[in-house]
Amino acid sequence: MDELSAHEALAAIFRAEHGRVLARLIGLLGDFDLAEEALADAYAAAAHHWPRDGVPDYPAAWLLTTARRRAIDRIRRARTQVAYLPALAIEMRLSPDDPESTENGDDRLRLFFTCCHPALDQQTQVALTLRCLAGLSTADVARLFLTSEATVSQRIVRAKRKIRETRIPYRVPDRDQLPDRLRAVLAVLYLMFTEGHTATRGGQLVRDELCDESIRLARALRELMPAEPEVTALLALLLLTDARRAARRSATGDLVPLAEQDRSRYDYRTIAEGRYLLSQAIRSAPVNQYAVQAAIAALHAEAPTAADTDWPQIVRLYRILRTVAPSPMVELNHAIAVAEADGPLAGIALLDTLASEATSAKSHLFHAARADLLRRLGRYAEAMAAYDTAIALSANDAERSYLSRRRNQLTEPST
Amino acid sequence: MHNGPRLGSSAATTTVKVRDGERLITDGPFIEAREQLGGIFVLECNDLDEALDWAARCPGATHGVVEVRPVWTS
Repeated sequence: MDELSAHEALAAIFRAEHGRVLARLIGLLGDFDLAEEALADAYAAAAHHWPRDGVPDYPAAWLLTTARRRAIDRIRRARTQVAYLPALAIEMRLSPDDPESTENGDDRLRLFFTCCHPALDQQTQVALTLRCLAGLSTADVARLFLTSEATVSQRIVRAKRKIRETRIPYRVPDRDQLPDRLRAVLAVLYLMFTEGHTATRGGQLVRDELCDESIRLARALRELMPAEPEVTALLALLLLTDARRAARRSATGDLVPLAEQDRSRYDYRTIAEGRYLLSQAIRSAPVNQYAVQAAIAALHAEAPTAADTDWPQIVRLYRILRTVAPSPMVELNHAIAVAEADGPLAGIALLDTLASEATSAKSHLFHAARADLLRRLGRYAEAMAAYDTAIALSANDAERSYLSRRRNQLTEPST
Repeated sequence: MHNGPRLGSSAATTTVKVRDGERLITDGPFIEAREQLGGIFVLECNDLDEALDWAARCPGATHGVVEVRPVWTS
């Protein structure tokens, strides 16, 4: 194995095992920081030994054993520091004849809840989850969110300090707190996916890795909590939406709107999996917002052509969503669905009732939808103005160029 | 002097309020010059969740906000 591919292999193993090993370590050590440092030590040792001696049969177990030894070293060195007073207890828990299990699903689940604790702001929750559970480096996280590495690293340092100083617990919340706290975890995965699905900024329409990571994490979470309908519904939603990924952009990276997508490029195996999960998720009442959204995504993904889309059913689902999880985005999508079901005039009427809201006024999606309906009604001057507003508000290059194309087509009588 | 605990940094602060029975937790202190500090409670808790639980049960949390900060221990 040449050096480069050895390093790639190591990177792949690190990424695959990171969440599992780190969670187990935090479980054993009871100290977030110490676990991360010890694991970093173990990686360094692996990078030194593995290319020379070969990758061990059980890389995760090797990393865990090494990290534990390094943690003990660190504890001994820090013995004089008061901060490490609980160290003795930790060292006892780490006695060498401890059974060497790398998999403890409970630990990983705890880690989800620590990373997504509501006492941390949501951007931090996302960054921590990607770092600790998906095993992304700080640089990767920064690249995915188009921020500097320094910003992300400062965010993570601050978060870890808060976890330590305020004793954010490392445990699955009690029954009465679980629904709330689980919602925070799901919100992080959902945010991660939507940011990947349509990047809010930059030149690329889709950030594939972010979509992949969020789905991978949602799968892991579902393995850990198979009986939670909201978790199953979220995974269904992500899969049913992601199945359209390839058809959403042209060969040149341009945005292709739903009505013009080549549906033979949808991933039907993913759609089938999403559909199955959705059927599992809707068995239990009350219906949750992710299940409703997944049902809408399924109707889009399964319509043989855009014209065959069951818009009246989609309108009904958006009405349910308005009561389950009201938001300006839901209102906007409801209006768009109404426009498809009952004609653009009905859609415009609904949009006009939303126009006074600050969130709508600032959303490029709102103005883009309005422009599209005005165009279809032949009100070109108003459509032009709405496209201009939408273009000015969007920060994604692919979206902007799509909107500009649409705007410029207004002058051609055939459209 | 009766007591005077030194509080942890504002970065270690979490704000809790309860509206319509729903608990809203945010990162960071509550900064609003017009608001006034109503009082302090010193509690011994095992972890942040326990502290947030008590904060949410404070009557003031339903109309004002409760800031939760660790007490500085050397």
